[in-house]
Amino acid sequence: MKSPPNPSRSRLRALDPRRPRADSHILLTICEGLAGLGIVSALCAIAGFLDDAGDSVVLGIAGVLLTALGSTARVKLKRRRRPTTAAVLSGLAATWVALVLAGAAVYLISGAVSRVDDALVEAAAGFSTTALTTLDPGELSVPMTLWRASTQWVGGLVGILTGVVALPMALQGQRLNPTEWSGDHNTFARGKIARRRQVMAVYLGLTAVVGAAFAATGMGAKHSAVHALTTISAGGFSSAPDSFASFGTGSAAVATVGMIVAGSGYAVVWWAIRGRGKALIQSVELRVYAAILLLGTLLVWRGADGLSWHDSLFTTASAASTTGFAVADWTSQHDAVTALLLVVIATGSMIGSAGAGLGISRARILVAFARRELRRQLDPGSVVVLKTAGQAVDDRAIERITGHQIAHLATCASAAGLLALAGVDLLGAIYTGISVLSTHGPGIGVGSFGNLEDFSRPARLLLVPFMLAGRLYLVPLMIGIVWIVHAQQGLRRELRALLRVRPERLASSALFARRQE
Amino acid sequence: MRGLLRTRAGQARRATMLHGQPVGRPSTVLHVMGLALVFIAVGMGVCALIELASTNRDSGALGLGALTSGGVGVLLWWRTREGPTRNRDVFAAVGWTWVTMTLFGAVPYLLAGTFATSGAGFVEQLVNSIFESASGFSTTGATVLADFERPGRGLMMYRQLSQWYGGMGIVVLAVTVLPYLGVGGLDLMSAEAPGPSSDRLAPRVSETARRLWTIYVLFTLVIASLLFAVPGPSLYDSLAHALTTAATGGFSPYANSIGHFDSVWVELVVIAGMLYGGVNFALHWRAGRGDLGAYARDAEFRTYTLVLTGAAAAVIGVLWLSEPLGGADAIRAGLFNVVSFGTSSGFGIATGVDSPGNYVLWAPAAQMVILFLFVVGACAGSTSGGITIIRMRVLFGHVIRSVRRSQQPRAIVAVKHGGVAVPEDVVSRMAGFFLFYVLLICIGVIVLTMLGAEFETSIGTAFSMLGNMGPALGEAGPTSTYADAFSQPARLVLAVFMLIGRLEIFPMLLMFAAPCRAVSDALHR
Repeated sequence: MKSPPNPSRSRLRALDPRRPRADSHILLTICEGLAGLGIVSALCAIAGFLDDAGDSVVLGIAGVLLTALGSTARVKLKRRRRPTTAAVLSGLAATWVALVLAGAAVYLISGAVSRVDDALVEAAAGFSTTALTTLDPGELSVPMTLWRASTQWVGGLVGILTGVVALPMALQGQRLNPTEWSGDHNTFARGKIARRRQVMAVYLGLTAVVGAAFAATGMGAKHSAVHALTTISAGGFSSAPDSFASFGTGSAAVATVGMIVAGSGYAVVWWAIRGRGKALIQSVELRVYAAILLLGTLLVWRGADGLSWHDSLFTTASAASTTGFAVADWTSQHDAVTALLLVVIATGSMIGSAGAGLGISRARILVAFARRELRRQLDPGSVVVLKTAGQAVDDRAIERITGHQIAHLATCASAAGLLALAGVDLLGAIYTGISVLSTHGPGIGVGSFGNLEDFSRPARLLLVPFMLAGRLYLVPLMIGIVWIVHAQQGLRRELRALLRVRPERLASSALFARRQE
Repeated sequence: MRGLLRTRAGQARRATMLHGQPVGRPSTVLHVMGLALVFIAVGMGVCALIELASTNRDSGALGLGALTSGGVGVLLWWRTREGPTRNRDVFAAVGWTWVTMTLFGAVPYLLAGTFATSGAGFVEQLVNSIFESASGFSTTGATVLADFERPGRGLMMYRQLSQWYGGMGIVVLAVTVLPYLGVGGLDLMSAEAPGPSSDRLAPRVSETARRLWTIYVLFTLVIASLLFAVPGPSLYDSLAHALTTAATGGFSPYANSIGHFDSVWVELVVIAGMLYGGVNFALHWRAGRGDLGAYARDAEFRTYTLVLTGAAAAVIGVLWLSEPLGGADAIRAGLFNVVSFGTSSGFGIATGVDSPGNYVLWAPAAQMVILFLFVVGACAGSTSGGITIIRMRVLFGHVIRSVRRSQQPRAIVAVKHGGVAVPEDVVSRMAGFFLFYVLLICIGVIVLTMLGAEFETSIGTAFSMLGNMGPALGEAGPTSTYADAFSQPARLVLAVFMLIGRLEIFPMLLMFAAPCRAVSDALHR
C-alpha cells in the first residue's frame, strides 16, 4: 500500500516567500571565508592607499570581488540546520585551500611574488599562521605588508573558530577537548553563532590592545599594526626581515605578552576578561602552560650563550605559542637548547588557542594514559579511570586523542621524509617537519627568521600541505587517509572476488544456466 | 595467617622433596637471577678455554669473571626458591636479572683492561665495560671499543656470546630449566621476549622455551656452516659471526664488521641470516614441521617483507641517483644496510670513512629511510628490536578507527590484524607502549644533548638504542665508536636505554614495583 503523498520539498519551497536556495554547507563555508578575506583586503587597500596606489587597487579589486562572491553565496545558498561531520570537515579543508589559492592569486597579480610556487607557499604560510616566508618583507609596500599580516590574522581567527566552534559541533557533541571546557566555569555562549561572535569580539579587542601597546613603545603605525595582527594570531610574520631583532626591548616585551596570550586558550582569555580568577587558578592546562614557559625559559637561559632572561622568555613564548617570532638567532645555540625548544614546539599551545601543535591538554591526557597502561601491566584487571580537572575522561575521547597523537607523529615523519627527499639535510628535515606541523616555522634548516631561501623549490612546495594539515588539526588529512584505506580495501575485495571466479566455476555456472533454459 | 604460613611451609617442603633443593627464601627475582648468572658463567668459562687455547691474554679475566658470576649465581640459586609470580614479581625478575647480567657481564672487560687506553681512569673503564656489556646482552651492537687488536680471541668470543645469550633471552633459557614456574614462566617469557605476545609452541611453557632454543641453536649452526663454507672466514670467524647474526646483534671481532671480509658471499649469508632472525620464531617452528605456507599466511611476515623490499628499493634508488656510486655498489651497500637495520642487527660493510657502506655520508633521503627502519624494527617474537611490525600495524588500525569513530561516533569498529580482531586491552597496551617510546625518545634526545652530544647524533642514537640497532647517525656512525661521540655519563644513559629497548620498556620501568612494595610492606609492619 502506498503511503499518503507528503508535501514535497519543492512544494514547500514554492510556498516559501523567499527565493529557493541550494543546500551546500561546503560552498557556503568557502564563500564566507573568502568574503572575510575580501573585507580584510579592502581594509588593507584603504589603509595603504597613500603608500602604494597600485597594490591598493589590486587589493581593493580583490576585496570587492571576494566580498561580492560571499554576499552572492549567502543569497543563493543555505546551510542545513545540522550538517554532517564530513561536510563540516570538508568545508573547513576546502575553505583553507580556497583561501590559499585566492591569496596566491593576489600575490601574483600584485607582483609581490613572481613565481606561482612561491606565491602558494607565502599564502599557505599566512593562512596557516606559520612563520615561513619566501620574500623580503622590507621590500613590500605598506598595503601588501598589511595584507600579508592580515592573512595570518584571518588564519588565526579561523583556527580558533575551528577549535572552539566548528570541530566540537562537527563531532556531534563529542568532547574534543576533555578538559575544563565542559566544567563549571564554562561560560561560553552555547549557540554556534553567539559563540562565534564572542570569539571574534575577543580576538578583535585583543588585536587592538596589542596594536596600541606596540605603538606605545614607539614602533610606528605600520609595524605596530603588522605585529599586532601576527602576534594575536600566533602567526609570526614580521615587517622586518630579522623579526624582532630590529626592534627595541619594549616591543619585544609587548610581543612576549601577546604571544603568551595568543598561546593560551580562548577559555582562559574569556575568564580573564570576565574576572574569573578562581577559574584561572583552577585551570590545570594553564598551570602546565605556565610551567612550560617558566621551565623552558630557565633552561634556555642557562644553556644559551648571549641570551638574556627576557630574550629567553621571548624565545620560549614564541615556541610554546607556536608563533615563530625571533629576537635572536636561537638555532645556532647549544644543541640542548634547540632540542628543548623542538619539544616545546611539538607540544604546542593550549587547546582552543590560535597556536597549534599537539596541544597541552592532549599531552597531559596522553601522559595520564601512559601511566594508566603502566599500572595495568601490574594489575591487568584493574579499572582505572582517567581524570582531568576532576572529571573522568571517557574511553572514546582517549582513543581519539591517542589516535590523533599517533597520526600527528606519523605526519611529522612523512614531512621529514619528503623534505629529505627534496634535498634538505637530515636534521633540517626533521626539525622543519615538526615545526611546520605545529605551524611554528623557524628552526634548524630554515633558520631563526624563517626564510626559505635555502630550500629548493620542491621542498618549499612540499611544506604547503603540512602547514595546512597542522592548522586544521590533521582532521581532514586523517579523513583522507581513511578514504584511501577504504578505497584500497574495496579494490582488494574486488580483486579477490575476481580471482575467486575460477574458469571451472564459470563453466559449471554456464552449464547450470543452460539446463535451466 | 597461620594457615598461610602452613601453606608456605608446605610449599617449601614440597620443593625440597621434589627437586632436592634446600629450603631458602622464596624469591622469584633472586632465583631467576641466580640461574642467569650461572649460565653466563658457563659462557665465560668456555670463552676462557678458547682464550687459553689461542691468544691467552685474557684467560685470567674470563676465568675470574666466570668464578664471580658462577659463585654469586649458585649462591643465589641455592639460597632461594621459587616465590610468587605476580606481575610485579615477573617484571622485577626480568628487569633485575638483565641489570645484574649486564653488571656481571662487564667484569671480564674490566679485569682484562679492555678499555685501558691512555688516560682512561678506573671510572671510565668501568663505564665502558658496562656499556659494552649492555650492548652485548641487549643485542644492540654499539661499541666503545677503539682498539680491536687489544682483546684476545676468547674475550672477543665472549663479546659475541653475550649477544647470542641476549638474542633469545636468558630468562627464556632459565624457563627451560624451571618447569615448576608454571604459569609464571609464560609471563616471564612474555616479559622478556620481543613483541606483544609470545606464541606457545607447546602446551608446557618449558617445552615452548626449549623449542625456541632448539630452533635458535640449529639456526646458529647453519649460519656458522654456511659462513665457513664460503671463502674468507675462518672457523673462529664463522662461529663468532653466526652467534651475532642469529641474535641480530651486530657485534663483530673486527673494526670494519662484515666489511672486514669484503666478500659478497659473506654478505649474502649474513643477509639471509639476519632476514631469518627477524622473523617470528613460531613461524620457523611451524615451517620446520612442514607448514611452509605459515609464512605466507602471516600478515606480519607479509608486511615485514614489504617494508624491507620497499626500503631497499628506496635506498638503492636514492643511492643510484644521488651518489657517485655504480649500480652494483649501490645495490650492495643499500641492500646490506637496509637488511641490517630492518632487522635491528647493526652490522656494517663500511671499510673506511669514504666507503660506500658508510651510510652517514649518504643523501638525506636514504638516511631518513635508515632512521625509519630504526623505529619500525622487525617481527614480534624474533630476536630483533624496534617497535615491531605487528605494533605498527595495530597502531595504524587504531588511527583509522579513531578517525572513523570521529565521523560515526556510534560505529563499532574493531582493530584487526590478519583478519582477526585485536582485543581492546592489547590495542590500549600498544598505544601505551608507543607513548612511552616517544616520551623516552624526547627525554633521551634532551639528556644526550645536555651531556654534550650533537643534536643529529642524539636523535639517531636515541632511536638506535631503543631499537637495539647499534650504529646510529652523525658522529655515532658505522665507522666511529661511541667513546668518541658521547661523554661518560651519556654512555651510562645509553646503556640504560639499550636495556629498556631490549625488554620493551615496561619491565624496566616496572622493575622497581616489587622492591618498592616490599619496602612499603616492611614499613607498614
